[in-house]
Amino acid sequence: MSFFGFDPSGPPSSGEKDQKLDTLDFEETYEGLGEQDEDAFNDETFGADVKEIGSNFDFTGGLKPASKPQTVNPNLSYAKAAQVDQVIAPMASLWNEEAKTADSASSQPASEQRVLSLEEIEAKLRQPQQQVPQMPQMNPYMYQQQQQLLVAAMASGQFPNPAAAAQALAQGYFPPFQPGVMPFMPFQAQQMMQQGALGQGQQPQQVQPPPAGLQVPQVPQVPQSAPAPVQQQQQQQQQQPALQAPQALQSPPVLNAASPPPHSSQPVPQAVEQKVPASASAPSSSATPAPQSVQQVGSSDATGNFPPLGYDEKPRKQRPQRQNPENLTQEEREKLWRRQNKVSAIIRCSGFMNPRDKDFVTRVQLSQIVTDDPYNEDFYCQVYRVLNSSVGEDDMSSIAQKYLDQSGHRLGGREKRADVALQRMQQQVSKAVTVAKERGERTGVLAKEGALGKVSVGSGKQPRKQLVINTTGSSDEVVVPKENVYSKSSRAFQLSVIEDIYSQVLKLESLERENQERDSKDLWNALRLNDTIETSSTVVSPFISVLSIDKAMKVFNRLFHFLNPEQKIKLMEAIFANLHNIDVVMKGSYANYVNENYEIPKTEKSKIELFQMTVMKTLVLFVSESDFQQVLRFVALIVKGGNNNVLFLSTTKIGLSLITILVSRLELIKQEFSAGLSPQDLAQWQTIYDHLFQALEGRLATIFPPYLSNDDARKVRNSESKSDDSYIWQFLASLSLAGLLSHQRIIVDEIRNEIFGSMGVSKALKESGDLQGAEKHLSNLNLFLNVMGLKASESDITEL
Amino acid sequence: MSSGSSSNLEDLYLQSYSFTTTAAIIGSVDRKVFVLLRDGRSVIGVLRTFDQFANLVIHDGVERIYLDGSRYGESTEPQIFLIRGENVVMMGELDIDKEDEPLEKLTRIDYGAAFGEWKKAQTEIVERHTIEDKQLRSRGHLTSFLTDEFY
Amino acid sequence: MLFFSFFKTLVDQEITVELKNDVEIKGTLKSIDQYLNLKLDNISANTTKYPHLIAVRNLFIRGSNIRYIHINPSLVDTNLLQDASRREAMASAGDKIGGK
Repeated sequence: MSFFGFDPSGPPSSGEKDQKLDTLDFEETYEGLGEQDEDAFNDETFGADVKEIGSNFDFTGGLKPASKPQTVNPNLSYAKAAQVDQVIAPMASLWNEEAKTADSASSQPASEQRVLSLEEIEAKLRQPQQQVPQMPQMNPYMYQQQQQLLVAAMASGQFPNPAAAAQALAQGYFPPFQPGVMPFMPFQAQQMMQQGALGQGQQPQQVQPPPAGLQVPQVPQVPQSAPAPVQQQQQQQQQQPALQAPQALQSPPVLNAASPPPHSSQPVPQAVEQKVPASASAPSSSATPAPQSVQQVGSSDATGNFPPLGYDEKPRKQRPQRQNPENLTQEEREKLWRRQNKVSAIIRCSGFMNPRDKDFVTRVQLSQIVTDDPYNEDFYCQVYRVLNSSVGEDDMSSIAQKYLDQSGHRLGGREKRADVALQRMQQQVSKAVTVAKERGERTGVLAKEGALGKVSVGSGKQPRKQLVINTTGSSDEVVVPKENVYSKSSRAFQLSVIEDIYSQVLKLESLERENQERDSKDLWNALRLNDTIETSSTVVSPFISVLSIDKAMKVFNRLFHFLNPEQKIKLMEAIFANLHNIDVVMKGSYANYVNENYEIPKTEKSKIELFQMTVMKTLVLFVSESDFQQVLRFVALIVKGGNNNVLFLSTTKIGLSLITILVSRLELIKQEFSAGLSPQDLAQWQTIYDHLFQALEGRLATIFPPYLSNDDARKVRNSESKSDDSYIWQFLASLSLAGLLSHQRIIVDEIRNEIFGSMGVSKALKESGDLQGAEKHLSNLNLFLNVMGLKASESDITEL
Repeated sequence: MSSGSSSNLEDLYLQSYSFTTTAAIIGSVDRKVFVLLRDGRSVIGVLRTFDQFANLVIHDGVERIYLDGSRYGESTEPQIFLIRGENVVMMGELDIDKEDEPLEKLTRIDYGAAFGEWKKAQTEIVERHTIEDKQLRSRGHLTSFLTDEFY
Repeated sequence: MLFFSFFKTLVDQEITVELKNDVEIKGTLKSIDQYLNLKLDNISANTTKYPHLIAVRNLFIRGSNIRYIHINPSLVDTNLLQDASRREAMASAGDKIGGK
């Protein structure tokens, strides 16, 4: 049985295992085992000698006491070191013979015979290395640094063994490039001590959360910045034994000042020495129970001839003040010692969960959430990211990338090897999808019924419900059609109409996204234009009755987009014919609020605004592309349609604006494409215009809401008085434009007071210094006057 | 659909990665953490491994109980804790330089004594709620008091 | 998956998590998973119940213990959320969306 993807069949061995586990398949190792009643592999998994395990099980198998200082044997080969690295075999019964071999190997250091061939290879590899201390294939800087850090750490005694130190390095306890950022790091602690910063845990860098750099540990097996992946791996296999070399040497835990510099010709010991200034800050009192670092300090001080290292310079520059270890108080030493104990306890078993374990856990979970239909299953997130691209995918991937790097995941930092993992992911995803489909995924929570009741099983996609309702058998019941459930005049019915429309729109949008055939029939039926309902005042189609509800206004543009041209025209005609009955139009007339000082309620105002931004925008766009006859039909529907009262419509902003748009569109076509228009068309337009004019004649002044009026006889002031009145002047302009001179005279005559009132306001504004306001009033007025070849200033009206 | 080709799948994989339990916990592996359990106890130790259910293995862990804001008790023997995910309320990475600061203001008492006091307080709460529950139920109310949540 | 999908868009934003025991913890959302477990960075809490929280750098919170999550309204696209809810409802009703 596999525990975290860990293959117990062979002993963990650094190089070979890497490749082997890369191809480890979860299915192969686990398949079927979970279903067995008795787990025959229990002993194999947990060991037969479980009783011996105390409550504080030692992950290292007791091989490496934390306090045991280590030293480095310069004569030990990398290969030998690798041989002896069979360390983690905590329960012998788990490892069988292999484990025993490993144990015996570690107990007798002189097992060189078994690894001769490797040694030979290695000797060759080491040859150039000694001459040129920088490894050519990989980023030499990084390699060196890692080694330096590692050896320094071991030398200072913080790590019981090189492997642990290497892991610490890998996991970011020793970020090679950012020695100053990680509060956990002994290295940093030492540095801080040197610089007299001990006890000032509040240094800015420390208070910060682990910065990005910290979370991208330089995993030794995977040098990310190295150029060629293949070389990297070879490199890494050389490098790893190198890192672990000292550990094989189970030499007595003595390292004192008298001992000579361990190995002066290799880059590795140099690193030790160069790091020494850092370790030198460790408590030097031999009475403290952390003697390793102290002794180490002595030894390195004795050698004393170590050139400063490049990477060390930055922190030094930042904190130039240095303090000798002797200056530390007893308290500070104790503190440091405690800290080092903590760190070594943490480091001691680091890497128990290795990158492959992490990868494994991730994949298990990813296979649950990765979907082959992200658009539908992850709709909000997908669309939100598109809409808010500033928090877009780049950020997302960088987060993911960070985590990948951090976990030592096989995808981390490298694209090439991603393919293998991705192929496997793909297989797992498709498997997972297949299984889910077989289960009848969307039918609800999975449930198993047993003698004691029902066991419901939740999943990430289908959280377990507290109440599982048995839905089988309900198919026999007669399904009541939705429209019969609610009274047609109820708000619930209106909302259900809107939701039907939304459903159809969503379906069509999905089809459109997938470039598939779309049929707007269902959507058209959902609009229920042919149906009628009775509202309090009149009988209209459900769609007209819901058009004043926010959700319906918001979906208007989306639904309009999917209608075919005939349907669009039909819908437009229905709207124009019933303009008067659209709630938002009706309630938008100032005439309703005589008793409230003509103040239109706030809710209505915001509805009007929404209507203008949604429905009207769509209508205007459509009208601006319609032909003369079509627009004429629309105007006719407004003017002569049985449901409309033009005079009333002209007291509403929406009504007035729509008429303006239609009339000006007609005039525009008439002026630009007059050749294309038949005399009948023009005659018809004349008739309709006359109709429109007659409806308004004599009451033209009423199109000015009293709060926007500047006629002393009518004007009323309220919160809306400062709002824009240009829509009124635009209407008057289009009305004049379409009319004859006689019409224009009537118009001017009827609104004379408004014209002069507006001029007066402009004048007053100018005198009070508000030139902008004055100009605005005049330009609005001139919108209208210019049509007749006139131009107004503050004091008089002239011909253009 | 976007997942059709493998290049998109890679994106998907990368994007989805940070939305896993693993991604949330992985950074704390081999770090000193505190785990707050549903019963109100804190376990403090080194996170060694975990799985997708947030089952956790805490190494060198000690239990700590805070009492009335001025005292605390801590078990002395470090232990391994294998914590079932459902009992976890939260888990936080501790800054080892600062973790002892809050304790300096508190009085440490014997863990056994602390445990006893804490257990007694719990029992009292349970008893009180049991009575309240009965009264509420007799009037047709349902309550949602859980006898194992004291965090 | 709607809530999962929703919370995914809040990554890197500051949120306040209210636990079922009334403790409120503010922090930057760093990760969210399908069980709505959260990972917060730069946390600050309104409680003295857990003194060691001041030494905590980031926090994993199990979703099952969360009562509310307070978010900045400007981070929510309500129209989109409505559509997403509709999709979810349609999907769970077995209604086919899209041609797949």
